[in-house]
Amino acid sequence: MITSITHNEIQTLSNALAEPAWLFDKRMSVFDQSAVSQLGDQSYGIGLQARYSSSLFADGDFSVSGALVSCDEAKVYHFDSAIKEKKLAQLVSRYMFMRPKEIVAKSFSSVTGAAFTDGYLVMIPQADKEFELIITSQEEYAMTYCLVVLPPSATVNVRETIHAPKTHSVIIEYVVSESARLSLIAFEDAKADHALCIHRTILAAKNANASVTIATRGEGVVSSTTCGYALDKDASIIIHNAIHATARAMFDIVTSVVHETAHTHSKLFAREVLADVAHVLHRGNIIMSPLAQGSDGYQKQEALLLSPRARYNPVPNLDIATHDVTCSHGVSATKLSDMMSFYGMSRGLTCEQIQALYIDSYFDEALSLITPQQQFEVKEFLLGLQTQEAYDPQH
Amino acid sequence: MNDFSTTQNRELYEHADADHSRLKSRPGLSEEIVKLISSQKNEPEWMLQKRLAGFALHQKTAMPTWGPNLTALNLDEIVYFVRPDTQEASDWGKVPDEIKKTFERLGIPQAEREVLGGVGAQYDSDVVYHSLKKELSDKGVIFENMDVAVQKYPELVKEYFMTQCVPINDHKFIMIHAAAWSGGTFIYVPKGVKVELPLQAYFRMNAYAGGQFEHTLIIADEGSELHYIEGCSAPRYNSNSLHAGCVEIFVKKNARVRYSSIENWSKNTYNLNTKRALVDEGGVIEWVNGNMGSGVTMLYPASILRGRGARSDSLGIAFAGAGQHQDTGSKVIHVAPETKSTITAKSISKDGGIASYRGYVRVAPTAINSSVAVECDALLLDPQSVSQTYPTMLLETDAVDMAHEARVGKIGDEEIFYLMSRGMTQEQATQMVVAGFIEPIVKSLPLEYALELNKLIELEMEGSVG
Repeated sequence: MITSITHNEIQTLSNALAEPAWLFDKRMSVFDQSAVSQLGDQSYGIGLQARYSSSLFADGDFSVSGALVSCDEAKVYHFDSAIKEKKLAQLVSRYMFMRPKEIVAKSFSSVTGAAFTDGYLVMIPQADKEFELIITSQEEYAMTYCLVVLPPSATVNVRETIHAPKTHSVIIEYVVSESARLSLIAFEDAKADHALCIHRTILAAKNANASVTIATRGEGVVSSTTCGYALDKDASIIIHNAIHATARAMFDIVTSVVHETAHTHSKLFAREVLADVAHVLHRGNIIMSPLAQGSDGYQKQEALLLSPRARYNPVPNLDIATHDVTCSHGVSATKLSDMMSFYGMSRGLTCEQIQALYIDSYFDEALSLITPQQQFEVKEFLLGLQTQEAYDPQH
Repeated sequence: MNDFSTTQNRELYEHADADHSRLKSRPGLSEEIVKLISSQKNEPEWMLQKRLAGFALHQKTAMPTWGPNLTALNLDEIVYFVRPDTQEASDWGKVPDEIKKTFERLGIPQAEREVLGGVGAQYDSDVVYHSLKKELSDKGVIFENMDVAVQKYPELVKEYFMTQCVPINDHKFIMIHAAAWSGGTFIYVPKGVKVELPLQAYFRMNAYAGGQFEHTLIIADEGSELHYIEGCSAPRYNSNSLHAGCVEIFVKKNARVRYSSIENWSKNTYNLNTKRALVDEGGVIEWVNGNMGSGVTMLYPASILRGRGARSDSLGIAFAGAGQHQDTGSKVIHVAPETKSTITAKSISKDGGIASYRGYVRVAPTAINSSVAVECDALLLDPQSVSQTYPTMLLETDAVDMAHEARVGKIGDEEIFYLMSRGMTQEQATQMVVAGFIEPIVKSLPLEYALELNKLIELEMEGSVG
């Protein structure tokens, strides 16, 4: 049984999957050997390294099918077939790990990028409609890679859901071509004793627009990174996070936008609710390259702390390498005000009802990118039935 | 102080005296040099053991890899101990002419006469001048050279020196400091005594490839008040210098300490300094820092608020010009309930300089009903310059009110246009906007120092337009 992932194991895996040399090189471009030893640490000691190593490479069986990807009417190619078609292979070769730095930076994504067993290419058609991208993991501890390509000028809504057993690690890279519009809603659900590791890359071309709403909830471990790259003029990337961490949840959230060129725009906004003994580490990065003149970036992280034992750890970074930009950030944390509780109770509500009402409205601003119907759905996901139960006087 | 009506120039700070040292260790730090420093100062055994423990830790610890690039700093080339050819005096007349001239150029004796309650002047590794106004010594205020304090107040120093505030294993440069420290200031303000006039120490590094490791230990007893000012400068050589000082401040119950420093080391100096305060119930620590010089600065004054109602206010300004990386910020750890902290950091980057704000605020579970406000603003004067903001916050209780804001931008064209329409040149207009930008910091300094800071900014801004 293999107990660690090294260059040799990745080579063996790539050979077993009959991959061309360039795909092996892609794997190695994001692999950092030191990441393997850090895997347990960055995932809050849940011991992912040992689990991944032992499950994926047990008895040299590299043919394990870790995950299935479906996406309505979009064309979904497993890498088995994609790499055999010249045009598709060129597409994968061009965009896969185009910006590897952030993938290498986090141990789980580095290992996943190097050792994924299932790779998919999803070609979104030129249609103004909603697609549901579903990644279903069939095996415990699977590692999946998915490249989603939007054609130029497409206007697409994507609803991204991951169904996985206890532990799953996935890298999803979205290519938003010139003048395309991506509206993405992502659902990240970590039940107690579950671990979900997600790395999203968003590559926005000239005049492209990506509006991303990420809803994260649960009592387990979530390591979620979303990195946007504004590659060309007038590209715009907006990322909103709505986070509800309860019980012993441990969330490691990263949202980043890199402005690589002039006149690009970004906005990162998060509303986070922490209860019980949940711990949320949220790192936000806005990076303005020396070529990003005339760009603007903004990030704001706001937290509502519902328990004296919850831990909130915001790190909003700015890295600005040119002067002709507008960039700012802010962080605030607060608890439910006594005044509000008092007023609610004077109107006959219980403490639980007041809290549920407040949380419900607290998420509104983080969900402003999506339709009211979607907002309702996301809130239901974030809060479960809590709100309805709280409203119900019989409850 | 200097004649502020005339334009300053860098020569004032970067002029080098001839080397008249009476003892100069060979480059690099070794156990032998550590023992030499200790024996030269006739130190007690416990201090030698502390130095040796620091040295042993330093040998086992790698250089930090985060923050600014320190690869060009060769610790084996630094001269860790240089004794000037003079003894400490309490009369400027007894200080050797050349050294006195240097301090006169920097305006220290004049400032002592006009606005200070006491002055210490350190030249390389030794304090060459020290004095305190009689009315303060009569009230029991102790203002001493740190080396002298080890001999005169051993119990007090043993209790507070690199124990609970900045332990010797804190980080790589504190380990070096523990091994090689020399000179610095010891201040004790007795209960209830308010020191009306500021006390000042000025640190001057003259030796080629020199290192300065002064130690400042301030104990403000219950209900006392103190304003302490530090200034620093060094000549510019073609070899790197290292400044790794340490400041430990104990703010006892209901005491108040304001610590101001204007660091103006030459641009080949690595300024890797450590400043920390332990603040008890109702105590207040105020940090005012102006970082103008140095090639690389890593400086994050820290406050540990361990008594109920303790407060920390930190004001910082960093100016990063060509070839400079100013990595500055502030740290606050709230441990006790009802504690309060504010951090205001401003930076200006010019000619490709890099200004980084690196902050850390932690509110422990015990620090209920505390509040934190952090504000950092950065001004970029040209397309080559860089601004970085890395604030980290950790809240471990819900009963906290926390707000953080940061803005990065350039000077607005409208502001410059308006000022130019009132008859100013573009350079004057830019200087005026920059002066307004740093006003909150300047306002908190005594007038003479505010003028010096303004003049330094003006000096750095010269030629910024056109």
